[in-house]
Amino acid sequence: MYTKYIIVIAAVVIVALVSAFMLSYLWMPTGGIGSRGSATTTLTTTSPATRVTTTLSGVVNGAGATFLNPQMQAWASKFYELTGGRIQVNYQSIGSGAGQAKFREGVLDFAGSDPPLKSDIYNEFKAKGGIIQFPVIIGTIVIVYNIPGVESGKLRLTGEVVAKIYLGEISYWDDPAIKALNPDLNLPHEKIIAVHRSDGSGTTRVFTAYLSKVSEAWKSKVGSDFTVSWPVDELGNGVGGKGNEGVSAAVKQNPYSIGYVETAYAYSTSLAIALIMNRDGNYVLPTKEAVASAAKALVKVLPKADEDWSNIFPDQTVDPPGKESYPITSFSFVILRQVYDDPVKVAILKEFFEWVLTDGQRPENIVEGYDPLPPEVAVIGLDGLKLLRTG
Amino acid sequence: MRLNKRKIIDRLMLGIISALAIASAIPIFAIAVNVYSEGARYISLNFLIDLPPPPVGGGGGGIGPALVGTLVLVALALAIGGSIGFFTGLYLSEFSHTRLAQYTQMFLQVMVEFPTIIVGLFAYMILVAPLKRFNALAGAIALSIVIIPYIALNVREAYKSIPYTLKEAAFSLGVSAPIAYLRILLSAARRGVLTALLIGLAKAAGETAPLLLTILGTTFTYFGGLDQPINAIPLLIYNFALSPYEKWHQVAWGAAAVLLTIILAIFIVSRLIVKEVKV
Repeated sequence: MYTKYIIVIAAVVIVALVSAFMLSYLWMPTGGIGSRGSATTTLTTTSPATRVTTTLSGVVNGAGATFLNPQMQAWASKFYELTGGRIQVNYQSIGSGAGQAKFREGVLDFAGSDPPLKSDIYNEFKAKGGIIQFPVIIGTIVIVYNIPGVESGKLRLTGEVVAKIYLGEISYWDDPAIKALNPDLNLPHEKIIAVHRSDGSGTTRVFTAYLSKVSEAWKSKVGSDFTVSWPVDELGNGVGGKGNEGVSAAVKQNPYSIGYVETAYAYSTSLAIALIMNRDGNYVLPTKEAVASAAKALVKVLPKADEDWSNIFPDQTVDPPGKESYPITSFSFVILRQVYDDPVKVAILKEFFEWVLTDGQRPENIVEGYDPLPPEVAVIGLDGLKLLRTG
Repeated sequence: MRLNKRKIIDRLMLGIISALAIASAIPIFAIAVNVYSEGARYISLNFLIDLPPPPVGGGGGGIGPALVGTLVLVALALAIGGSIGFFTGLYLSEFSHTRLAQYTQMFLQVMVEFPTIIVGLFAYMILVAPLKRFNALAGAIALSIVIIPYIALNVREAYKSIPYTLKEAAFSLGVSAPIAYLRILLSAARRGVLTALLIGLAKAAGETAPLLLTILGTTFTYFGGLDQPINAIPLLIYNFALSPYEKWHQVAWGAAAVLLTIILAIFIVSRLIVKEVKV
C-alpha cells in the first residue's frame, strides 16, 4: 500500500527531528552549550585603566523590568560602541516578574528587576552559591493629573490626600482637604477619577508602599503589593490601565482624573505633574536635586549587595528625610548569580556593570526620566561585583 | 402596493448589507493606510540593515537583527512545518477514509484555533528550559507548530481538488505511489500547495506570541547560532511600541510597514497563483 511510503517518510522526518533534539541534549552537560558562543575568546587581565579597551569579547543575555529597558539599551549601546562591538549586552524587556522567574530557571545571565528578590527566593539562591542584587538607576514615580485649567506643577498634594483619594474618602476636586493645600487654585466641583495599574507592577508596589507609610488608614485597609484591591474601584470612581502607558493614556483621556506613573511616561505624554509634600513639609517635584537628596538620605538604610533587600525596599526607602527630598523614589535592580560556569561571562558581567555604576552614571549616559545613583549608592554594586567568580 | 413595499424593504436590506460588507473591509485599508503613513517614511536601506537605536541620542537606527531573525525563523519554520504539513495534508486527502486521517484532521482543525501563546509556552518547556538558554530553534519549532495545521489543511484541499480521472490516469501509468503523488499529481496541485506554503509563510512572519517565550530578542546580534537568542520583527514592534520614547515609536512604525509589506506581498502572490489556476 501507499500508506507505507507516507509512514516511512513521516517516520524519517520525526526521527531526524528527535535525534537532532537528543544531540543538542548530549552537548549540553558541563556547560558545553552554555559557553560555545564565547569559547574561542581570549580572556585578558582587566585593570581599570584598560577597562573599556579590553580585548574581551562575547555576549551576555539578560531580561526583566520594562522600566529599566530604555536605560539599559542606552548603556548597552554605548558599551557596544566603546568596546568596538566586542561586548554585546543583550537586554530584553519582559517584565520584572518574568525576568526573575527566567533567571531562576537559569535561562538568563542576569535579570533586571524593579523589586529585589523576595526573602524565600533570596534564601534559595543563597543556598545554591549566592546572589548579588544592587540598584543601577533611580526612577521616580509622579502623581499626574488632568484638570482642565490647572497647569503642570501647580497642584499641591500630600501623601495623605492622595491616599484618601484612592481610598474613596475624597471624591471631588473641590474637597476642603485639597482646597486647603491649594488656596490659589480654582478647583472645580468634579468627581475625581482615580487611575491605577490593572496589571501587577513594581510601580504599584512602590506607590502603595508610599501610601502605607504616610497613611495609617491605607496601611490597615489596603497595604502594599504588586496588585491591590483599590477601595476607590468599589465606588465606581476608579479606572485601571495596563502598564505605565495604559495609565498615562487613561489620565490623558479622562478630564478630572489622577494617576501615578514612572516619570519618563509623564514627560513623554506631557501630563501635568503634581507637587508632593515631603517628610519635611516642603512641596517638591522630582528634580535632579530632589532625587539626589532622597537617595543620599537612604544610604544608611541600604543593605549590601549579597544581603536580603526584601524588607528594606521599598517599604523603608519611600518618603525619606531631607528638606529637598522627593518622596516617591524607586530603584531598579540588577540581579546576578555569584557563580557562573564560564569565566568569560564573569569577566563581561563585571566589566559591564562596573562601567554602568561608574561612567554609566554620568549625565550624558542617563536617559531622560531617570536619575543617576549617587556614588554612595553605586558603591553597593561595585562591592558586590567583587563576589562574582567562576565555579 | 404591497409588492412595492416588499421591493423597498428588499432594496433597503440589500443596501444595508452591502454597506456592512464594505465596512468590514475598511479596517484592512485603515490599518494599511495608517501603518504606511506613519512608517513608510522611515524605511531606507540603512533602516533595513542597522542596529536598533538607543532610546535617545545616536542615529535613527534600524531593524537589521530583527529582519535577519525573522528571515531565519521563517525559513526554518517553513522547512520543518512545511515538510510535515505537506505530507500530513497529502495523507489527509488521499487516505481520507482511514480513521487515523479522520482523527488527524479533527486535531488539526482544533490546532488552527489553538492560542499560539500556549505553543510558545510548550516550546519554552521542551527547548528553552532544558537548554538553559533562549534560542532560535525553539522559536522556529514553535512557529512550525503554529503553521502545520494551516499548511496541512490547505495541501489537503489542493490534492482534493485534483479531478479523480486525473488521479486514475496517473496510477494507470503503473508508476510507484511516490512518483504518482509527488511528481505527477503534485504538478497538478502545485498552485494549491504553493498557496498553502505561502499562507504558512505569512502566518509565521507575523506571529508574535510563540516568540515571546522562546527567542528572547537581541539588540546587537544578527545571527549567533540556532542555540542563541535571535530577534524578530513582530517582537521588536511589540517592545518598541510600548516604550515612552518617540524614536522607538518611529522604529516600531517603520518595522510595522516592513512587516506589512512582506505579508501583503506574500498574499498578493498567493492570490495571483490562485487566479491562474481558475483560468
